[in-house]
Amino acid sequence: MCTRRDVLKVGALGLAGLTLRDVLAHSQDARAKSCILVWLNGGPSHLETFDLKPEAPQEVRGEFKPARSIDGVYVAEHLPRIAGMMGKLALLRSVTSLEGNHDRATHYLLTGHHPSPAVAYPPMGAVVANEFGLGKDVPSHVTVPRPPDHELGAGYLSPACAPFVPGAPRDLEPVVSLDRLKRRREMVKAVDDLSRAVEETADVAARDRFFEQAYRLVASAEAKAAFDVEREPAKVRQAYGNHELGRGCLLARRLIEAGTRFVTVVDNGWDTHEAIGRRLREGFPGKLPGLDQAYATLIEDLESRGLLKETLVVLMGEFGRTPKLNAAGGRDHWPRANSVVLAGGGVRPGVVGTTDAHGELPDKRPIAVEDLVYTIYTLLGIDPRKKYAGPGGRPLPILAEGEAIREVV
Amino acid sequence: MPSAVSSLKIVSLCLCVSVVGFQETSYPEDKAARAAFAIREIPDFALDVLPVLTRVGCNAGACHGSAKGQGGFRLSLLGYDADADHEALALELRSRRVNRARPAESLMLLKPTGKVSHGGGRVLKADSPEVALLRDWIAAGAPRKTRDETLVAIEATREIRVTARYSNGAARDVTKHALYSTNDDAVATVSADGAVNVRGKGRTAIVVRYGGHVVPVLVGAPYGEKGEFKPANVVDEHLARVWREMEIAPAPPAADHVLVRRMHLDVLGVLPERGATVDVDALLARPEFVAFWSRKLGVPVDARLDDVVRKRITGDAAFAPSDDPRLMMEHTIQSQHGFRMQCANCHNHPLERFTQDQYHELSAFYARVRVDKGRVVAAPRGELTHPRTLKAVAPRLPDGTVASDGDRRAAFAEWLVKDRRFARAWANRIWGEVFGRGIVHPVDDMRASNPPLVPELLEALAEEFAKDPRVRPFVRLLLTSKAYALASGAGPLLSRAIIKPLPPDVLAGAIERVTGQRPAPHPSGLRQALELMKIDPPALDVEELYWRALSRAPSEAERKLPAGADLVWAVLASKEFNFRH
Repeated sequence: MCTRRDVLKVGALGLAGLTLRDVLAHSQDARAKSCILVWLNGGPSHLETFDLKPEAPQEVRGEFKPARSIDGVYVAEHLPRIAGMMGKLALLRSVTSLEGNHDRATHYLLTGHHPSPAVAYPPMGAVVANEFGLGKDVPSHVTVPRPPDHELGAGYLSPACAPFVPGAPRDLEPVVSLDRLKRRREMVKAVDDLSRAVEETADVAARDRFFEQAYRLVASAEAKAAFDVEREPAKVRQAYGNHELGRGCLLARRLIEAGTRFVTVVDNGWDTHEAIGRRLREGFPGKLPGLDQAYATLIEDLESRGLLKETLVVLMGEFGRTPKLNAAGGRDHWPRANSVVLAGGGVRPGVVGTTDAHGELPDKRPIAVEDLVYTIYTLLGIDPRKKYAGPGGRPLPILAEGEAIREVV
Repeated sequence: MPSAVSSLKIVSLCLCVSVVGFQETSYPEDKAARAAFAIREIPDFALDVLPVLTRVGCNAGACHGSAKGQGGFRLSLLGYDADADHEALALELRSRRVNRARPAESLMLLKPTGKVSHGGGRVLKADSPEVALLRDWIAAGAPRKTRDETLVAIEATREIRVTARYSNGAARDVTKHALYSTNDDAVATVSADGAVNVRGKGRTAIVVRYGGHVVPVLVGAPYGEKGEFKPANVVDEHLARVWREMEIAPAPPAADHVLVRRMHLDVLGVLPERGATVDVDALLARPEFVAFWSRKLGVPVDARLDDVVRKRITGDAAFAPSDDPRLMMEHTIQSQHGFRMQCANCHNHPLERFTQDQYHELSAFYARVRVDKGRVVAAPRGELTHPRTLKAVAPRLPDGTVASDGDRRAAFAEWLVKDRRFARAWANRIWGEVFGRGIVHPVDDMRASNPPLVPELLEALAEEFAKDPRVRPFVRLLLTSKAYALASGAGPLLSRAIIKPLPPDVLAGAIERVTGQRPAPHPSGLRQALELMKIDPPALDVEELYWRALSRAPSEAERKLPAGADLVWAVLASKEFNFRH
């Protein structure tokens, strides 16, 4: 794993020192097998998390102070553990877009495409499921504890690529024996073979795959156990935190270990139009203390299990928030600046890009959303230009735009 | 909706789509331009000369392209045989048709330019770029081939012309200044200057924006199918026309038992009884109709919807999504007009002709209410402040009417239900419930830049609904179309009935009907499959099972399946059971 210093060296030496090919060769070795996306639903404020502006006027900088961190990188005081592990993370502070509505921005960040009335683009998790298969016993695409407000399903891909949203672990137990279930399964095939009532559309084919997945899941004790966080020692559960985000991150780790390829952990409550300081700080736990606990524990836990190098962890929301506090002491939607954190999965740690003095616009190194999504696919070993049969069988590239953020791959 | 008054008020935008003319692609006279044209100095016969002859019409069926030729000179029809044509021009008649020494005296130039008598008359000007190209080719020795490449494909481009019409009667070509986007780049793309490139079969909209106005232009390519379809009502008439235009063959009618099942599921949300027939009126008279549709549409459906909505808005009992007048207005417009107003809160709506002022003027109709236990009730006073001017906003309807004293909501409700958008939105929503997908999709996202699949159909349906805003007769109109009764499958432009997983509660009810056990409702997916594994049904004999679950008799082969609980379960898991088809 490279250090931040190495990254700076690459930047300084430029093409003379380390060629792009070297960089790419590096990423070949350290390709991620799976991805955990921690989705901060509602749009987390960059100015209260990873891009504090301690020197800006009060109405811009808000009430938080930076935690001690590496030079020029000001992470909020309420994220002390994450601030302490910046050497392991890639922080992108200049992700920028123009989509300022929750639904449109969520679509954009999760797919790399602007929403279109004609094409339902698949989110990254669905593309991963399509590329890596639907999983042996555990499903390859899972969202916990519930989908984001603006659910994308599988886009134009088979509905079988849509995320599985698990219920309670007991929901995975069938009422008849596995032998009997196997006989029933064979009977379904006999019934389907004798009926020609339904043409084989994508929805119809997807149904077969759901059943296939369901049979495998209920037949595998190991897979079923992966969904049960109660099997973790109390100490581990406490470390992640006894709250939704903590349990979600722990479940994500169990699922990744069991073979799931893409887990989205959704955390609500980041749409802070009022009293942003209080809203992010206070609660049981507050948004930021809860995030600090769950995320830092997830990274450390993955690392100690040797899973971090093959698991890409993405931390983001749909946009940043307005540089100036509004009359209610909150911040409104601000897509032009957004901070995203990547870790593990062959990511080169370091800080890429910054915003201007008030956190308004990217300074020098803007990162398009397409670049971010391109980079995530690249780290997962998926060719972003690969073409799929879109609606009506027409070839559509996974991504038509964007390029890899070379500082991190 | 009228836009804000300005000195140069644009009344409307008129768009015409025209095929790019020859002048755009002709052969330039001067050498620099020729280089830019990417044809090398010496024209190639098949690649450069023949296209000119074809365009001018020399090898058309009525001229030298006829089987016998014309005036002793024969060319292949539309230039399909380059070798034969080259021989006819360059080698026959000892080459009088081309004069390599004095190119300008070649017959193939003198005749079409009218310098010697020509049965086909003068078809080329002597100083045209086409003549220059032919002369260059002759001067070079009239070669058959000067380049190695062959033509593999052409891409047809259509050009949009945008005309702005002003209130003083003036019109201006603003093609170069308009903004273009495509709604589906797999069907057609558009360049920054409005050149449309149709790439695939199907239809989509090129959205043109200029000066705050938005106009969609439908473009596309036909499918090349032939089919028979005799319209039964207004729905069919519009679809028949579109299918004819797009050369789409609709599916044949569905079998009776399929249609009976489809209608019961779509209209009542239940499986049909054994022996049920296609009887639309009997179906609509069933008591389940009102309950099922009231639940689907979120309004009581046994009365006129305009009355229902009027009462809802003014009756102090409306559900309050929020206590903010703006959000109440947004919610009402989105649910009753299918239109999302949110953008106009902060700035003029980028996709529509709604201004920020209009947004706040409409919100002001909700300024004098308060929320009591989740319900909206009238309040004696209250004003809405405009975020920019910080002044109280007068409640003004988009048609300019300002509400008088009293409950402002009454005037708002009256406008809401009389506006054509009300009828259009409801027609589209009900269509979406019956046919499985809105003519505008999603149904709550109506805007100029997301045009309907078949605009004339939606307008005709809106007209019907405006005349009689009751759900039942409208559903009846849709159900009695032949389009509704087509066989299912995947096909363009509503030419086949849609195959769709049963909605979660309908599926749960259907399973309960067959087994007596009701699973927790989940949308189609892994969760739903897992849920079915918790059902252990009682056994049924095969005949009874097929009638109950699939609304039909089992086939000979199906009768041989081993009866029992496992077969019942298997039918519940089958495709035929789980889909609306």
